[in-house]
Amino acid sequence: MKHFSFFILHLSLFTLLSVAASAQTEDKYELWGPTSTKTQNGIIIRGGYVIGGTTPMPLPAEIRNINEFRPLGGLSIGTDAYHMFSRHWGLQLGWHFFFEGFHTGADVKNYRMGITKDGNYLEGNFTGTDITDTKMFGATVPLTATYRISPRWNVSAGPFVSFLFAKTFEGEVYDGYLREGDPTGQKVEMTRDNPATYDFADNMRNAYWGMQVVFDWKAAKHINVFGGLDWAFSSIFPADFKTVEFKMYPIYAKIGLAYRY
Amino acid sequence: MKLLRTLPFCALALVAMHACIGDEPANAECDIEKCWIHLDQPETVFYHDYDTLAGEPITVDRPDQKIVPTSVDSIVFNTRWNASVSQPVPLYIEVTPGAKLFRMEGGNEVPFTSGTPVDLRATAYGDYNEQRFIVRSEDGKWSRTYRISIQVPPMPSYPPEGFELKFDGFELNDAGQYYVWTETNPFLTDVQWANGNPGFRLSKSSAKPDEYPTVAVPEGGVDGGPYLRLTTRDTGGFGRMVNMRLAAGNHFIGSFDVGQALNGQSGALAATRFGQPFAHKPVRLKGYYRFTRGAFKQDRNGNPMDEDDVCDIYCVFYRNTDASGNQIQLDGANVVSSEDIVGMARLNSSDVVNGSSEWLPFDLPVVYKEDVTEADVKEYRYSMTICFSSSIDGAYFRGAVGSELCIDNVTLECEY
Repeated sequence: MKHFSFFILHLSLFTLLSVAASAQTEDKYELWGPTSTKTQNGIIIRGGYVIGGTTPMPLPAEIRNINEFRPLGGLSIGTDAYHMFSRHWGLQLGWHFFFEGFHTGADVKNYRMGITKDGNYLEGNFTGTDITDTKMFGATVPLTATYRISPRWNVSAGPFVSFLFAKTFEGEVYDGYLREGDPTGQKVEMTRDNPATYDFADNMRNAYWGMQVVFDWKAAKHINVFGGLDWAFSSIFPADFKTVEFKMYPIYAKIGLAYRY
Repeated sequence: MKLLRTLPFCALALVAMHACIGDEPANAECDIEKCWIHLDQPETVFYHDYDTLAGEPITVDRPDQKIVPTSVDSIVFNTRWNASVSQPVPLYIEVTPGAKLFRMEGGNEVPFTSGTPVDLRATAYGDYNEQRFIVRSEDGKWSRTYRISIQVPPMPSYPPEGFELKFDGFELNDAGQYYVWTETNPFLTDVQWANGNPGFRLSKSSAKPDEYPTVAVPEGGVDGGPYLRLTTRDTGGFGRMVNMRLAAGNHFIGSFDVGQALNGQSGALAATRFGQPFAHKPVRLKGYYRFTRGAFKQDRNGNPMDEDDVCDIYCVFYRNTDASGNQIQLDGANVVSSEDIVGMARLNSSDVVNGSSEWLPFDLPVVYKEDVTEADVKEYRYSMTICFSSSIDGAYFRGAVGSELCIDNVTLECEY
């Protein structure tokens, strides 16, 4: 998570400086607007770096410590088409391929879990270390309202739907124990030498939705620098999946360069 | 300038996500972890000093310490058969950190301070005073009730025909999932049979009682009655999760610590605690068996091996106290190899007949590698186990799924 925060802080700083700079420019909406002034339409091709995670929000108290976090994948390529209705307001529709994921290690205490496998069921409360790796390859379709804050600054926000073409969600638990059934149940020890491994890829949803916010800064005539956030509002696992008791939301930020036609 | 406010907010939310790991929740567990009694002269009441500690030895590194398994809710301190306890005994109890301990007194829960003398009088076989304790978890949501007693066992006596084990006494466990055995021989009060069924249940919750590795078959034994059937089983998806792909059917005298059952190879070996103190000197192990080999023997990773599976039948008599007075407890790692073994009877693998539909007799002499004195045996200085397994390397998760060993009418002959 630390990497992520740094990135956002840098982004904010960057924004601050550039807004200060742009405040001194004259009204140049025409100059920085869509290439085609007749139709007020445009296309943006974007490529960027994605970082984030799939996480319960807020973090439950059962998660005691996040020992490690490392992004996996982290690529987003896509295009947006937009139409401006007025000087400030427009609508934008996109199609973005993404390849994103993360590796994390967390210490948990009395973490409720249940595992189903081949019709067999094991549930209980786990205390120990949990390692998770998840990767998702898919496409996001955002439909956003876009608003020009200034000639060079643009913000767009709105709902998105993501479709997954390939996905993994696997990991292991160790250095701890499961209390079978509930905290008074049989203690089942698990050491680092013999972790219990899991793979819940098949339990993941193939689609989810959420809200997207993207800020664009027009760096040159055709080039944008952009940064934004995709915040899913639906859990990556269906409600009847009891293994992970918390709703897990994919929350990914991206930063990149765009070419404007 | 709205932007100036928005972006830092995004950053804040994400920093917060890491920072707002909440306060540690209170412990939900409520176990008695350790329990012991104090006597000034324990040797006059107990056979071993370590009999004043409840539970099982923790590890070989800490032989002087014992821990109460989480599956236990009844703690019994067994005395010498001719001893008695009439005075209150200081009782020490350690519970889960944060949990509160209460003693039940006339229906009321009274806070209990570890070390307080408690009336645990036990004067003769069957005459004892059981105390109840309640442990309440730190978070207040959970509790466990324990019974604690000191008990005097009956006088050990040897029946002239030997100890006959017919496996006729069995029932389903409380939850009705698998069979447990209650030995019927009235003379063999020391015997407690155990097997890996509780571990198998963790991996195959859907299994019917007859689909477990260790099963009671009600008819078709040597006398037409019940017999014991051990089958090497596939442990399914959960078994693969912990790389324990099969479970050999086993049945042995001792206890099975299901808490260690999934804890890797070393844990699985430690889970089978073989033997109990025994006041008789075994001479031969006799009985009847039928063995049918499974299709192919596989290694721990499930790959076929270039050898045949075979069953295992043995009796081991071993020294149960080391030079420092600590308990020796053999487990799967050393039950047939320990230097503390003084006598052993074991079915030779090459003598095993595969695929017989008839009951076949076995008669195995206990071979002693050192002398034992009757005085030491009567003082419970040795422990005895009898073990049957459908796959000889089952403890190492090597065997043939489907290997089946049936056992009936076993007799353990002793010198006295």
